[in-house]
Formats: sequence, structure tokens, C-alpha cells
Amino acid sequence: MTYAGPDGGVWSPPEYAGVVLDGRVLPHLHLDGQFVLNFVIGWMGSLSARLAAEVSRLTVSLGAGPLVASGTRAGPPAVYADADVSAILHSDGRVMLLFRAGAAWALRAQGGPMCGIETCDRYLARGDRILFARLGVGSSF
Amino acid sequence: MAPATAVVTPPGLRKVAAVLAGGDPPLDGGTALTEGEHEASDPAEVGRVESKNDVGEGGFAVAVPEGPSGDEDDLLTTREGPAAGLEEAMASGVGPVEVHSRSRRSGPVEGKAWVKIPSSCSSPSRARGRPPPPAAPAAEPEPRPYVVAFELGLIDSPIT
Repeated sequence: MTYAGPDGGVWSPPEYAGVVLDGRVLPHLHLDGQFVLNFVIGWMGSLSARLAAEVSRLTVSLGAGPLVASGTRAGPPAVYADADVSAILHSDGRVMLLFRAGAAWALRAQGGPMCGIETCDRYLARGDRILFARLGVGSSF
Repeated sequence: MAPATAVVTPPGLRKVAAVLAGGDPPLDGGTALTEGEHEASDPAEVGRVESKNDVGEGGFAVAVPEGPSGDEDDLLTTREGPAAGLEEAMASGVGPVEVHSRSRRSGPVEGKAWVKIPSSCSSPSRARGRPPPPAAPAAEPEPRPYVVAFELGLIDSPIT
């Protein structure tokens, strides 16, 4: 189920599911990888380097890195530049909650505006933007 | 005789040096608990005097890891005494403390010990049971370095 987004794009409420792995490699530097699936736009994967701050049980980080997503119908995967903010709340045990929101901008155009009578084919212009917000639950180790 | 030396560590007070002596008050030395038996010149031979409970509410224990002879059979395990004596001792800096001890060789022994506490550690206000200043809160454990999570979310994609 989709509906028009603010930019004329497609919002797809929680059909978006994924897995994220985040690791602290230095006191304030995390590396992060994730892979998600969406029934409308297909798959999406990203890597990010994250500047993190830990306050008690809360880890807040700003991340940036490449994001690759399924592209236009006939084209190769689309490449984006991703930036996001993340908050991880650790519980007493190993359970943690994650919230992340961000945006990614397409680095190159794909396809072209090919509209038929009732529909247009997928088209991606340079600078087109993905917006996302995610809520996750997981485990720390 | 050389005094038997030990260390007193009641809660809320830092470790202080003490002198254990026995018999009628030779405050700065003398015999040990049972005359001649527990004499020691090396503090390490006598061990430590440690409070078991808050001052004024319980007692204290004197753990003696090794007897003066160095013979394990002369090991003195624990001496216990009422808190009141210790409290007085701490208030005055020097005072008698009833002690009860056990020696593997000689069996139970009882007597008095005199605990000498340096003036820097014998504040009467502390000795009368005022609670020590609150300890700094324990540091939060650092979160584990790795997380794996399952996510659900919303997305607005330009690909239509």
C-alpha cells in the first residue's frame, strides 16, 4: 500500500524492514551496515561511518556513507549519498532500541521520463532524495 | 616486648595504623592478647584489624594471618570484639577493646587490646557514628560495542 509523498514520491508505510549491524571501533567512531527490503522500491543497503557520543545508556550518532538501492526497472542499482542520525537506547540487559532518521541523495540519474497513458516508468534524477525513519529492536553484544 | 601492630579499617574511615597490646594498659605497646603468645614486631605477621559492622552497631574483627612464630599452627584466625570499645578507642585515639581470639595451637584466648589510632584518623564526629560522606555513584557500565537490530520504517523514495 502506497500513497503520494511530499515530493510526489511514494510513501510505503511499514512495508520497510531491515537488519542493521553497528559496531564501535573507536571511542567515538562507529561503523554501521544495514540491509533493508521494501515491497515497492526493492532492496537497499548502506554503509556508514558514525560519529557517536554515549550518555549513560544512550548512544547518539551522526552517520554518513554510501547507500545503494535497486534502481529503475531496467537499470543498475542506484547509488546515493546517505546521512542520518541515530539513537540507540541500551537496557540493563542486552536488549536495545534503535531509532534512525535520515536522507539520501541520488548521485546519478537513471532511466528517463517514459510515461504511458496511465503510468510513467521509473525514473531517477541526480539529487533525487530518499527520506526514511526507522524503529528497531535488537541486541547488544 | 615489642608491640603487636595491626591496621584498623572501620567503614567510612581510611585505614589507620594501630597498636594491639594486652594486659593492663601499657598504651603504647606491651604484650599481645595473651602475654607472650602473640607478640610480633612485623605488622605483616599480625595482620589487620577490620571492622565487621558500622561503628556502634556491631563489632570488629582482627584477622591475623600468621602467628608471631611464623608457624602455621600458631595461626590466629579472627579476634572479635564489641563495637563500643572500638568506638571509644576511635574517639579518644587510644582505648581498650575487648578481643576474643583463637589460636590453633593454644585454643581460644581472650583479653584486652589497646588500639592506638593516629590523630588524623580519630575524629570523634566520625567515631560517634556519623555516616561517612556519600560515595560517588558507581560509573554506568559502558554499553557493549556491537548491536544488531531488526528495523521497521517508513520511506519516501523518488523511484516511482
